[in-house]
Amino acid sequence: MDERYGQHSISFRRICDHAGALRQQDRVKLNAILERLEKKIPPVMLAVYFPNIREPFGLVQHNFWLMNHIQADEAGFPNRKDPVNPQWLLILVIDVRTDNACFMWGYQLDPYLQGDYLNSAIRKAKIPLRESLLVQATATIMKHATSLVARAARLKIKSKHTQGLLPDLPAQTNKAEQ
Amino acid sequence: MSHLPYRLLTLIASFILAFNSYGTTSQDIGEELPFPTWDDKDKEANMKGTWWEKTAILLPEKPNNAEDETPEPIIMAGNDIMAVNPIPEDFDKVNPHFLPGYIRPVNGLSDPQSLLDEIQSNDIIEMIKLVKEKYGISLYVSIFAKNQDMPPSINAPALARQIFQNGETSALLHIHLDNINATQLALDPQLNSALGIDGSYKLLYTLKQKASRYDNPSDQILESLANLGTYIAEQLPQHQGNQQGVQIHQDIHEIDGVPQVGIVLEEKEKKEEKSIKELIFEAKDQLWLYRFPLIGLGATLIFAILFWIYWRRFHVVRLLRSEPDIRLGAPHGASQSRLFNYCQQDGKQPESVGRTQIREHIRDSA
Repeated sequence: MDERYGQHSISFRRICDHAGALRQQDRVKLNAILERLEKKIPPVMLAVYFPNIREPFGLVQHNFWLMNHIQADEAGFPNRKDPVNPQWLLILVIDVRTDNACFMWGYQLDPYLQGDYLNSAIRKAKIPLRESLLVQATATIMKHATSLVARAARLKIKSKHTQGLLPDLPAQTNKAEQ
Repeated sequence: MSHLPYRLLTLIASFILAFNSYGTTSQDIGEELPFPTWDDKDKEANMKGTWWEKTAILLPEKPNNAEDETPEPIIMAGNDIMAVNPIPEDFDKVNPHFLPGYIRPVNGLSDPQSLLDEIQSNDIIEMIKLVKEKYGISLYVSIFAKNQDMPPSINAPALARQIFQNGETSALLHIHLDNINATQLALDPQLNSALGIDGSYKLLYTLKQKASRYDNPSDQILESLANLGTYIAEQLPQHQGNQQGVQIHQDIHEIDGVPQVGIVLEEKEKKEEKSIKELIFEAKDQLWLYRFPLIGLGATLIFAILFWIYWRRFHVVRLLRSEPDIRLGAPHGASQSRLFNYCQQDGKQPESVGRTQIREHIRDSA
């Protein structure tokens, strides 16, 4: 995939609209919504990605490549109290050309999310997605996804020792890790 | 001797008279004696108790002070003693012997003078029971003869004070048979205060007016009792009870020349249903009594709603980190969910409008 897509890093932000599906004011509005939702499940970073790939059946590979070539910084994720760590990313991918959507997430969210757990959030916004009401659809999806992650986190944190979860480090140590 | 029937004695006496009057010298032995007579005059005189005066020759002379003596009590079949000699036709005063009977009503009816027969008494008792059952009102009836004077100790208020029970709604009717205008009415203090003086007089007037439609004293009493119970129930809502009221219909039909009257129950009109606002207004006293529990309940509900809103908006779940399971050479993550095609038609959603239009801000390059 590096041969196909390249080895360079991609500067990533909360709203990555490579397909040009949103207007400027839509991006600003959606950015504010995601910023508010992030505060409920720290240190998760929420993002939306509209890819612009032309080859068919290549979305999954492209997503995998993108996830691991992301360069995330505080400029792309402003107003965060926690440090920026791509392993805490939860990305909603919406391909407006092929009408497909999916979630992808980093390693730190693996204990909390499995398989198609979050696809029920996409199903809830099926009608607005079909009608190309992308801001409304994205807000609905991410709102439900946030509540699902929070619910899963509450269950896992209750039995954190058996789930392999580590106690939270102070903020300075987190930055050193980064 | 005193147990022998009087008629038989009279017959024997007439035989003796006839035999003595003719004598053995004036007649032949074989001649038949005339049969003694017993006509209507004799019958009537016997009923009045004056027949013996005609045959005074057979009786010893009456002592001079016989009229001053009080009549001997008559011993009845069961050795009961009747205080009054055969019942005179008119009562001017109530015999003192009956006075205690008026303060001991039997099932609400006081008739110690036995002015009503058994059937009439049973009808009145049944009516009293019916009113008690339907409205919870205790009615009492005292029976007197037509123009009988009663001492003050047994007038309506005096009797009511002795008969009425505490905690019951009670009314007493003093009835003079065949003289409905002499009816007296006594009410318990609660009814008195509810109706007032004017109301009480109006009630008595109404009872007399409605009862005067009937000639039979028993019907007058029954009509009065029914109207009394109905009127009181209408004035006091707690006694309105069932919807059935008690009305007497003068369904008079004659059987062999004797008028027959029946008592019929008829249903009253149903009450109008009250709205919730009216019910709440009526129950405002009870609402005031339970104000603190109601306020507490309302505050609890409001608090629960506010807490739920706060929880949904402000509750934060901080996720804990873990050792990353780095695989496939990926430094950040390798997990994805399955692709979901949101435009697949499953027959449940309407047709998509956007699919038929080209979005303005997306242009396919050549």
